[in-house]
Amino acid sequence: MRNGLGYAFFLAIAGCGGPTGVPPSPPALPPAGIAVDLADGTTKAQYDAMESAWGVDMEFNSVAGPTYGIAISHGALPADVDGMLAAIRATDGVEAAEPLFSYTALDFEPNDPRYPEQWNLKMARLPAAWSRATGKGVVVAVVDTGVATVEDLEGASFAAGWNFIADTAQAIDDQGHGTHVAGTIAQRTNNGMGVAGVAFDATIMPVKVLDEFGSGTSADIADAIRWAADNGAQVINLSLGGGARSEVIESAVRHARRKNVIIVAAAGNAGMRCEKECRVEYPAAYEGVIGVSAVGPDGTLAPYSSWGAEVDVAAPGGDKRKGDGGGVLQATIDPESPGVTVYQHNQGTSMAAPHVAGLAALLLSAGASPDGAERAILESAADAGKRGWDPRYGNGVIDASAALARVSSGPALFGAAFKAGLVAFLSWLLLRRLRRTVSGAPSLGPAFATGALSAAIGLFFLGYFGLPSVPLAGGAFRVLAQPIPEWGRAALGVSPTPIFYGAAIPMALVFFGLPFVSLRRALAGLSVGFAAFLLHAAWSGAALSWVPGGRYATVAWLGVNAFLCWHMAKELLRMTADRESQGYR
Amino acid sequence: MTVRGTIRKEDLGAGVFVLAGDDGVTYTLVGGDRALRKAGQQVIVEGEIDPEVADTGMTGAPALRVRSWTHS
Repeated sequence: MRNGLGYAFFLAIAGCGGPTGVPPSPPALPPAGIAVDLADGTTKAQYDAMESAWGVDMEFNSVAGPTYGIAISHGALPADVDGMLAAIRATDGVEAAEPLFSYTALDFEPNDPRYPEQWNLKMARLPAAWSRATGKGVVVAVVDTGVATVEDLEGASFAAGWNFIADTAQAIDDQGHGTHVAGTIAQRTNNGMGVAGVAFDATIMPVKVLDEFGSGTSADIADAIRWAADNGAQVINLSLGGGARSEVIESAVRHARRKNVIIVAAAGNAGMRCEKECRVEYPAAYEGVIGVSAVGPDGTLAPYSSWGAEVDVAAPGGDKRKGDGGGVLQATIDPESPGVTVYQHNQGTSMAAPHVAGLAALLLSAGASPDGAERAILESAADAGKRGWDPRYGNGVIDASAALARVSSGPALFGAAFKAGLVAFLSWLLLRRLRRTVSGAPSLGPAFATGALSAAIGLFFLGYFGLPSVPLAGGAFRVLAQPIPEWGRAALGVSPTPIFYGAAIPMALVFFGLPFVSLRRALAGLSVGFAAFLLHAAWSGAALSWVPGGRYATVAWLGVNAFLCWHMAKELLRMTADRESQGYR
Repeated sequence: MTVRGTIRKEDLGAGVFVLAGDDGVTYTLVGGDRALRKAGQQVIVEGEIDPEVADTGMTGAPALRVRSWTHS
């Protein structure tokens, strides 16, 4: 990557900046770390050798790290940062190295001493989310082995729970699993002790359904789901599973869903048994449950993780093949000596699910509706694996910062609605003008309206009703919900180009569709919609790739193409009017 | 049913104990006691497959509900 330095710089800012757009200010603090841009194709072995030679703990900046080669240090730096940077720059395979400054106060760095080991929280982009939400007031039921009040959960908020094994109100962990899961969700954070959690101000509702060996029955789990939903849980985490479909659990899930409870479940740990095919365990496989697969610190699917059609998203679940550090670190109990807090690196889809449950709590505490929170989780996930949804990563690895940006930024939502309204108004103005220009004013009907809507605003209603989370077809719904000029961005993630932001698409469609009389109204609508979209883009100063000559060239391109679209619409309507005057419809 | 095999600890979640049966099938252990769950020990387990079980291991292995067991 030749332009790596600029890119690293960009990433450093992009990684910290939120939608609130806090401008970068000159750094006054010592660097928070260093950013190193490695040559593309740097192998893991080379990378490890560099790390040990420099004596710095490096970590890829994002899931895209192995592709782009941008790594950032974490942990303490030596006093002579400049000297170290010089040494690093002199290493073969390093394209650039520079101090990494945190440009805004948005990134929250908890003071928990073992927080630097929590690669998982950074991967899920929580540091940039915590200044916006902490899960306060949201009740998350941990339906598991119970929860023990270990030292790093002391002072956390708890709701009354239930023990379905002993049928008492004491849902205390005697196995270690539930406490670890609860820790991922709401470990006391910034308390100078232990580690951090995802939604550290959320309220934990401990519900014990698994015995001291970590197993339980469908009947107890079904009861627990209903009990939690009826007793105020807003999110239910199910880090458990079995292979059999259970009517009673399925109906309990429906009951909780009717009460607007978000249900998150681990996809299962049967990945080692899978080759060409795999199956998601129940309850993750039920309709209405967010199924979570697990990735390791390198962002790829953990070998144990189950996968399949019911995976909705992936989250960090750990991968300890290269050592304990690859696990998810939380406080829990040692079942051999309960009462003593141990900090344990665990791996499993059990560890991945609570990241998503915690994120749901963050979103709810930021004011999202349950549906809105689910949509935000699925739609903001960072695509991984095959492009778009795939059975291993679902919609991708959760991104807390992007998910919060979708719900917590009122102005952005207002902005989207305002933009849609403006484009609709522009379409209407153009249409009015057209109808004056074209003699005979032909009838337009739903075909015209659908064409105009697809081009100018998108079939936005397809973005609701949970359609984007439909396996396989969900991606298509997400794309169709966007205006046609945005399809390139929605489907392929490419920035706007003159191909999409221009008359090329309507022209091609008109070229092929013109012989079909019945299509002309839709094509006219499409052209009007495009014209309105392009005019709005010109007015709002949209930036296009590949257009030389800066801003005015872009405006000129958009204006000329809008005119072409308008002209096509005019001709199409004239043809339609002519046919109508001859007595055809 | 009776299964003879070796207890193994899988590093999943907080750790789960399974029975690697001499019949080539791996079973998730349900019930029984702590003494059964010692990695490496050879045992004979008497029990039934319980399809109604869910657990933290989620390994996809059939769940063997232990009625009794002995060292083999």
